[in-house]
Amino acid sequence: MRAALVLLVLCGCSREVPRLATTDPVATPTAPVREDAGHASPAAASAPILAARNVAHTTLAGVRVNTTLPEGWKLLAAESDEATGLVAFGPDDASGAATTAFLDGSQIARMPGSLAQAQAQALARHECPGPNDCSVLGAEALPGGGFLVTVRASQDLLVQSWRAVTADHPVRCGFDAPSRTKNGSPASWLGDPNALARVRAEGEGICRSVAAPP
Amino acid sequence: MAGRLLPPQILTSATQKIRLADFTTGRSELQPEHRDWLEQTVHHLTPYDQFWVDIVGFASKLGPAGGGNDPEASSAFNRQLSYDRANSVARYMEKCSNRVTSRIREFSAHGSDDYSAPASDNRSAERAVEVHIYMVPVPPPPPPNVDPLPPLPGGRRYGSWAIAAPASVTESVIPGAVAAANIIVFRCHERNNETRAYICPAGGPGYSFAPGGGKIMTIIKAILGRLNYSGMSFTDVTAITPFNFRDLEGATCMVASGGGAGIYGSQLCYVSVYGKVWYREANGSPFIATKDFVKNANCSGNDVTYGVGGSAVGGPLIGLQ
Repeated sequence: MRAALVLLVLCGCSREVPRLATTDPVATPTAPVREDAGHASPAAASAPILAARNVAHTTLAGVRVNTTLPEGWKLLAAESDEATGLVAFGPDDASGAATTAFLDGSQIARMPGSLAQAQAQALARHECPGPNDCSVLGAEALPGGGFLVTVRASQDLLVQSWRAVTADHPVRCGFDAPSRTKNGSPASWLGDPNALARVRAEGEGICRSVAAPP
Repeated sequence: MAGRLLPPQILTSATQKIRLADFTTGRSELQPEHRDWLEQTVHHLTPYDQFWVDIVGFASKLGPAGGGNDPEASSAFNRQLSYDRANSVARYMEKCSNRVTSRIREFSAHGSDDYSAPASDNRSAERAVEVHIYMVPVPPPPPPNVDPLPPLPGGRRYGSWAIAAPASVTESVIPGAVAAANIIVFRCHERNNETRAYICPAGGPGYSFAPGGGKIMTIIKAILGRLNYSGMSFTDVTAITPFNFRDLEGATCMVASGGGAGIYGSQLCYVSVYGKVWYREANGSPFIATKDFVKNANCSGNDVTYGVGGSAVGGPLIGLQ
C-alpha cells in the first residue's frame, strides 16, 4: 500500500499543474487537490496527489495573466469579461456577501506613479470619505515593479496591487473581504487580530501572485 | 477670478453644467471658485432623488517640466493629469454628498488631445474639468465626444427601483427566534418596469403570538397565525449601489418587521439588500465587492394576519421565475 502511494506521488510529480480557469483550449478546469486525496473519493484519487497551485489563467484585453488563488477558489465566469479586461474570482459558493478578488486589465487601468499615489488611489473609495475612516495596514513597492496596498475600512478589508504585466499593460488586482455575513448577522473577524492577519495574507497572496505566464 | 468658471465646451442637455478652469499648471488641486461652485451645486442636488453626473478632465498641451519635446510622454502625462483633476472633482463632490458616488455616469480623462496647439500651449481654459449634471431618472446617452468607460461584467446596473414585500410566513422556532419566508418583489423603472419576485428564506430574532380559544379562533389562528399578506404596494427607492436582477440572485435580504392584527391591521416593514456587485468608484475604477443595494426601504402598510409579532431576519434572495 505504501509503495503504491509512493508510486502515485511520483506520478503526480510529473503531471502538469492543474488549471482552474483558462482560455487555453487544451486545458480542463480541475479542482485543486489536497495532499490527502488518496483517502478521498475515487474521482478525487484520479487527480494529481501533490497539493497543486491553484492557478487561474486569464487573458485580459489580449494580455495573458496568471493568478494563484486559494484552495477552493475559482474564476466567477458570470462576473467576468476577459475581452474588456475585467475578471472576478471567489470561493465556490460566492453568493451574497462573499470574499471576492478581481483583476482589472481594462483600458483605464493605470500604474500609479509612486507608492504615495498608489496609497491615495487605494483610499479613494466611497468607504473612506474622511482621513480617519480607513487605515492603511500595509503599503509596499513590489519587487519587479508595482505596488501593493492593504486598507481596512469599517466593514471590509481591501487589498489592491498594480503590476506591469507587460511593458505597456498594467493590471490592477483587488481583493475585498466583507465583514458582513450571508444571513445578515454581523461578523466579528475584523476585530480579531488573528483572523484579520489570515484574511489579509490571503488577499495579499492573491494580488502578489499576479504575473505574466512564464 | 471669473476665468475659473467657464461655459462647457461639450454639448449636452445637462441641467447644470460648467467648465472648472484654470487649475494650476501641472497640478490637480481645486481652486476656491471650483469648490464653491461644487458645494453649492451638490447641496442644491441633495433633496432630489434622481440625478446623474458626467465628469471629464482636460489638460493643456504643456508637458511635464523638463520632459523635453517627446509628444508621447507629454500626452501620457497630460492624460494622467486630467484624470487626477477629474478625480479631485469627483472626490470633492462625494465629500459634499456621498450619494454622488453611485450617480457618476461618465468619468473620463481627455488629456490634451482634444484641441490643436503648439506643444508649449498652456492656456488656462484647457487646464479644466467639465461637470454635467442631469436631473432625470434615467441616465441620458453619453455625449458624442466622451469616451465610454469599459462596460462592467454582468450587464448594465440600474439605480431607480421600486420594492414591495407582499407576503410572509413566520414560525417561532424557539422562544425569541423565528424562521420566516418573505416574498420580495423588485420593479426596475429603467427596464420598462420589469418586475421579478424573489423568496427570502431567513432566520433571526423575533417573536410572534396568536391567541387561541374556541373552534373558530383556532381555525383562524391555524390559517392566519403564521401568514401575513399586505398586498402589492410598491415603494420607490434609489439604489445606494446600482444593481440588476442578476445581482439580486443570492444577495442577502434583511427584513425587519413588526405589527399585529385581528385579521386586518397594519405592519411596519423595512427591507435591506446587499451582495457582491461590480461598481465604479468616483474616479471610474471598477471594483467587485459586497455593497448595499438598498437600505431600510420602507414597505410598511396594511396587512391581513392574526396575532402580534416582530422579527429581524436575513437570508439569501432566490428568484421565483
